[in-house]
Amino acid sequence: MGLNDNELIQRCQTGDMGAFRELVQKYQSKIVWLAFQMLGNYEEARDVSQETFLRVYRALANFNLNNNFYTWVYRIVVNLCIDILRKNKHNSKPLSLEEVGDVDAQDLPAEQYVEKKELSAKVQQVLRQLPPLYRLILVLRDMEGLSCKEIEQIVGCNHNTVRWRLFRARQIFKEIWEKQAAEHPDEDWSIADFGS
Amino acid sequence: MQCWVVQKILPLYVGNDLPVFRKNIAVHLQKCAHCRLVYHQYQKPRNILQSLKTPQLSPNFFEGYWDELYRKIQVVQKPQPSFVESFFSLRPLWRPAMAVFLLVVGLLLTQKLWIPRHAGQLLTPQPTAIATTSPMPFQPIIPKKQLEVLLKYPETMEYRLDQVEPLSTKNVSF
Ligand SMILES: [Zn+2]
Repeated sequence: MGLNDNELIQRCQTGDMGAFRELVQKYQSKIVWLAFQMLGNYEEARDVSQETFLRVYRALANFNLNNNFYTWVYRIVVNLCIDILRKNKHNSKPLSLEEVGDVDAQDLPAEQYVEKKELSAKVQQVLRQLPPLYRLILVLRDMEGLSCKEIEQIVGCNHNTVRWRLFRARQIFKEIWEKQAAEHPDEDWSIADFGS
Repeated sequence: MQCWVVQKILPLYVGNDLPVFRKNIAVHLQKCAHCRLVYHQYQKPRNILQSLKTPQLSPNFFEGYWDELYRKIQVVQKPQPSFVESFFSLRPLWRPAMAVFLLVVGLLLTQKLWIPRHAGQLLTPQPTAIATTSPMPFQPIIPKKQLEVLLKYPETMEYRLDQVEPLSTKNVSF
């Protein structure tokens, strides 16, 4: 069984590079995914993830083990992404199915697997139309399953702001989804019962 | 609970993100078909999002990822060269030029620090001497009001002169 975050961090703090590598491998997908959700571009998301781990490495010596590691790392990613979004007026290009990545459903029958992949692309299309900060909250809460308290720490906002953004994000997501369904009656925008 | 109120707060209710009214809403949803429909319209997208957690990115995506990061770490870790090390890392031809440059800068700095202090010591006269002798070349700075009193009542001169603050180099105009 692999070591938990705190054990890995303790090893990193003694200069164990192997432990740091393990930590990176454990979180690289999540970090890239989160950065991608905010930036809409995998190349940029990859760069941001590298910068995040570099910052983590530099600050890890002073990391307090009573704090939550992933909340801290997520906060670094989010701040880096916000900086990028502020600097460039961000144009996210439309996504191809390949760009969306491979959905986590390899164990499904072929037909359902394709269906889910298409659904994933549609979700991304809708998410992309949400303002980045609303999208972020929705991704953290509904996709990553973090609690509102954790999101408050990551985003650096208070309780009410997080709730409000979550409320608006769910409203907007539903509205856009319904609009897309009305605009593309030839495509299947009906909401299948995945994971319910 | 009225339908419009229920529908207004459904976006938070679907994710258990509403700390209050949970029971009231549940009761209302059991009775009201229309609100139940709206509830499902919010619940389904949430289910989809939940089912699409972090995807498995293709292995190619992370090819060379660690090596790239490791190189960056090594750059960060590399200690900054000391002054002497950076001097000797210069090309041999640049070394004398750098040495002359540093010498000139050093000289200028010591001159700047040394001259005023020295000049100050030489030029600062005793306060009484200045006040009683010719005001040239360095005039004591006496506040205007104090000067007027001195000119009007010269008999107070001695007393007043004691009040004149000793000159500092700051007050000397070159
Ligand atoms: Zn109702």
